[in-house]
Amino acid sequence: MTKKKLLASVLIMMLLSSLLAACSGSGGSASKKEGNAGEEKNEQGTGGEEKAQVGGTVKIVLPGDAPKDLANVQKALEDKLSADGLPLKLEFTYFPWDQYSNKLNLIAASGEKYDLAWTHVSWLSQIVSKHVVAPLDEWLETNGKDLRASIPSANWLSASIDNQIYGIPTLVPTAENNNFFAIRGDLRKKYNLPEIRTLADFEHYLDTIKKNEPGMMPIANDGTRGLLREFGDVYLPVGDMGAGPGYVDPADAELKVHNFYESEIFKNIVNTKRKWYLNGWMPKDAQEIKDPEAALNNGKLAAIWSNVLKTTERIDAFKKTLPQGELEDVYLNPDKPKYIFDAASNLLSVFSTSENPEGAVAFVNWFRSQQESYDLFSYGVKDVNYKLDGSAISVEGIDEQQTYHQVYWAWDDIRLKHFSKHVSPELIQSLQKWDEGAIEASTLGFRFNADPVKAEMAQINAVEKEYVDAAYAGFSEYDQFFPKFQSKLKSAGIDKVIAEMQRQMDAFVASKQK
Amino acid sequence: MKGMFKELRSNRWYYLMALPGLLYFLVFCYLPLPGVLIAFKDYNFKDGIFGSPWVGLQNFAFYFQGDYAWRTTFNTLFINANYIVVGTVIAVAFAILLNEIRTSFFRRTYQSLMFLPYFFSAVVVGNFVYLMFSSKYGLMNQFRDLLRLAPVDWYSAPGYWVTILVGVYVWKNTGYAVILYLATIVGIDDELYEAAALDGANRWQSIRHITLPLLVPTITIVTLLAVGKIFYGDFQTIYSIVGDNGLLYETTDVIDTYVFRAVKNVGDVSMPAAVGLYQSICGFLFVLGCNWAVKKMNNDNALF
Amino acid sequence: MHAQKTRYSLSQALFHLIAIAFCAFTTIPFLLTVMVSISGESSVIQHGYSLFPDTFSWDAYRLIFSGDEIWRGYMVSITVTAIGTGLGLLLSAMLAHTMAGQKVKYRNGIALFIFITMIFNAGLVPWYIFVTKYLHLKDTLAALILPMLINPFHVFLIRNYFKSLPPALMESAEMEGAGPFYVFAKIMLPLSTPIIATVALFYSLAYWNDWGLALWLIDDRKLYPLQFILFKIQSMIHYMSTQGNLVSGSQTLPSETAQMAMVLVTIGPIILVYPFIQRYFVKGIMIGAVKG
Repeated sequence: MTKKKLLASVLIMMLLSSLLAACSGSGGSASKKEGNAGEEKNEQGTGGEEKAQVGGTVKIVLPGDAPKDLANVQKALEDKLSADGLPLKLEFTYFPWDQYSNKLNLIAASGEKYDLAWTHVSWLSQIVSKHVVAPLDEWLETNGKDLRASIPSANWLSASIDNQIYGIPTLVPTAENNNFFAIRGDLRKKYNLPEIRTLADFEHYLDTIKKNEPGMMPIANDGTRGLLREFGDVYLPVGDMGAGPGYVDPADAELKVHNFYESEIFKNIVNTKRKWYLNGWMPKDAQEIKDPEAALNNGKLAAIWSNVLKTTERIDAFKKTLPQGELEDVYLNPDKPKYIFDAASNLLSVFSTSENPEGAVAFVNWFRSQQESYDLFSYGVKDVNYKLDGSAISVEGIDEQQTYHQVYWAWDDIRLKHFSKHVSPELIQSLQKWDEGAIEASTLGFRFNADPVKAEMAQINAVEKEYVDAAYAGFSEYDQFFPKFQSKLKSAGIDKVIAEMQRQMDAFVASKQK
Repeated sequence: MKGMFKELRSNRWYYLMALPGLLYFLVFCYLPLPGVLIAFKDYNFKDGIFGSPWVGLQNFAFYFQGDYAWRTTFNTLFINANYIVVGTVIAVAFAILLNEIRTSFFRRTYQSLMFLPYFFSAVVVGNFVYLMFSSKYGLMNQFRDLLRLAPVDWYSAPGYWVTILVGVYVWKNTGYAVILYLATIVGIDDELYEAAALDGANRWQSIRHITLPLLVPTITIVTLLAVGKIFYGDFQTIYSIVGDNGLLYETTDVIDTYVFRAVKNVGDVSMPAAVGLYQSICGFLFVLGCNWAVKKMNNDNALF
Repeated sequence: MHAQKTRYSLSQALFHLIAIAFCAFTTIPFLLTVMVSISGESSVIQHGYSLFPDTFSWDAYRLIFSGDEIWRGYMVSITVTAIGTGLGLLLSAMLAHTMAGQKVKYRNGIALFIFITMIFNAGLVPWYIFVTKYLHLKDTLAALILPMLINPFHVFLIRNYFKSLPPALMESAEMEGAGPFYVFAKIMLPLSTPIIATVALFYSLAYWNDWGLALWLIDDRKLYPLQFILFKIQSMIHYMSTQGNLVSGSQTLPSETAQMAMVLVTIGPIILVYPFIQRYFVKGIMIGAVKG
């Protein structure tokens, strides 16, 4: 009897513990990782060649400047990596901002051996067609399982070309991403203006500033995308700043590509900007507000462009110089539908000349799947490079030489990142839920390949730069510049480009339906 | 062949002296030169320069078929010609002027002060120009205000800008050129001036008949060298002054700024290479012509 | 006599006046640069550039000189400039001597050979591939020196100057059996101090101001020259001001003021060295040797 009971209880224990192991959440992922690496190592040991051993060096390329305390954080990272079963060595190289994409091209041209790099979705079709980066699907299967599972498929789709994934996307709210303005909330309250929901409200705010705050410029000439919410929330395959040769209306079932510059949307935007300029709400000279961020932070600017996360990123610098000021996001016509046109922006890609793609992907997988590793890589060593106040992050009191300003936005993850103490928990909550209720436009995943029409695109770019910038700054009267602009666009070949966009769009839709 | 060997042998020390220099040019300039083939290919990084597909003149299309080929070429040539002519006249004038100043302390001080703007980076120059010409607080408009003249919207009026660009060029480069011309003047034999004075010539006549003619070889060389690059626009300075202000493109858009703007978002390597080739070939033909003309006048002054 | 003297001093006065006017034109912006570099950043943002700023601050300099990166940058730049100028000058002068030699049959061919390189170049990508893949120059001190070692413009300047020297000097030396090296070292060079000093100055400036070679060819932080470090700081300031999160330290990032401070940081050593070079801009000795 006792023996049977003993056997039974042992069996039950085994069952229970295996169930526990199977259901373990983040706490168990470390052991899972070890398990994986162990498995891979074992397979290597048994002579199997399918799964590559994860080891060696991962050479990472990022923009900007090396953080001052990089050496220490790097060591801490490598220690933690090997403790977690990934004996990788890391090497960081930083390229200056202005020449970053040039340097990426040069690396590809001369075949230098780097592994991981920051890239952006807007360059994706070029760097893929020029074979700068490699498809990641295979290595995600072997070394990036957690990544694959935790990032929604819409994001993967946006980082793919022809159904192959070319970059690991960030996980941030993406609906209506750049269609925001940010204003001085404290000033709005000072003049008893209601919360801004319509264009009329916004213009009233600008007018009030103009009349009552003589030292301030109501708005610089960079805030255009927010107006799309008013005049036409459309998808622009090419063109970040609220203008591009073609557009698609997401509500249009046929997904027809139209000429953006011939549309009423463009006309309305230009007329609105012109009105703002004539009313003195925008600068008279193009260079008057050379640095809108600095102007905002110093109380010279009352409104600026924004995106979903931007305010949380600006707030620290803002509060330093204007502790009483408030930054408020403005999102016109909040009742209109909310679209997701692009679910990816910043990416981490692997070079086609990389010699350690498995290591690169494993590394990203590692720090994106645990809070601790994420914090280590993004912010540094706790209490040495940064301090945590609850979950708010701060660098007050940290010595200049101990700072670790890393370009964490290149792998941002809304579930894991820390915000500054100036960002309220309610705001964080709302950001995490921002994409809920948003409609995924059926154009999601489409990437226009400009190669077949690159000569026309180059000419169109030149024409656009000449006329659109001035128009969006309010310098031009629509009826005056439009005929010339249109004829130049036509001779640059805009019809050919629209036709090509349509052709690619149709092919995209067809391939989705398969 | 035999003639060449004979020449190399008889002047062997000369050629030996030139060898290290020639080697440098061979290695760093000529060996990479086959890379110009990129202009005729649809370059991608996997196939490299020699493996990428050949597309003939297609990369030239975006520039020559557009509306801007004529305008940008004209602006480039016009602005550069102005730089050469105005720049040289003013620099030579100042070199002569400085040479006439007796006290060496003042002469040296002036020379040093004139040289200062050379050190300003293009970005800073752009800021200074804005300081002068902005419509609200710019110094030029404040000055006009003093004279009871209406202010001008400089940054919306393309007509003034060639003059402004030339002004900036003179401001920035005169010091540098003066050093050069002064070095030549200083090398002129004093005896020539003494002999002229004995013959009753006054200062102006000496300058006209001694200084200037002896400056001509230097001026010729500097000008010919500049002419070779006359199809290359002054990208750094012009871009930092004009930036993305389309209203000024009519007169200030040069080949290089246009190509930069057009290709920036397309990310292509072959298209700029094609235009670069166009600029090289045209400049080269131009200089060959000018050199030939100079040779006709005085064989010694020519470049080659 | 008296009249001529008055006219003479009148024209002197006129010359001084013109020179002073132009120098004001060039010096005032420089003074502005100095003043802005020690202004408080917020003062500049509020009121623009001014010779009399509201607030003063050393923030710009503090930012630039934080860490020892910049001192290393000075060392690298000085080394590169010294070696580059010395070597470049020597090679240029030797080339120029050959090109100036009347007996050298192929001198115009050589001139054409080097002139072509001024006009034709293959572009960034082929050059980069060649220098890094085939010459293996990446991340070396040589990478900062060799690719711009000789500038054809300067070679032509020296050649011209050599050509302007009286040929009798060289002929008499050659008649006594001197070879081209001797003529070069003992006769041409000593007589050409103005142009040598000028070209030395031009080469030094070119090396000192260059950041392009470092941008493309150097990833090793220990080999960054001064200008490149400044270039990176500028890039970084721009990034920080748009990405304001987690900014520590000073009130406002010294962007405008730092730009001006960078100009002065660059000019600094030059201003110290330049007066010493100036005394070489005088006649070469022994022109009179021809008579003898």
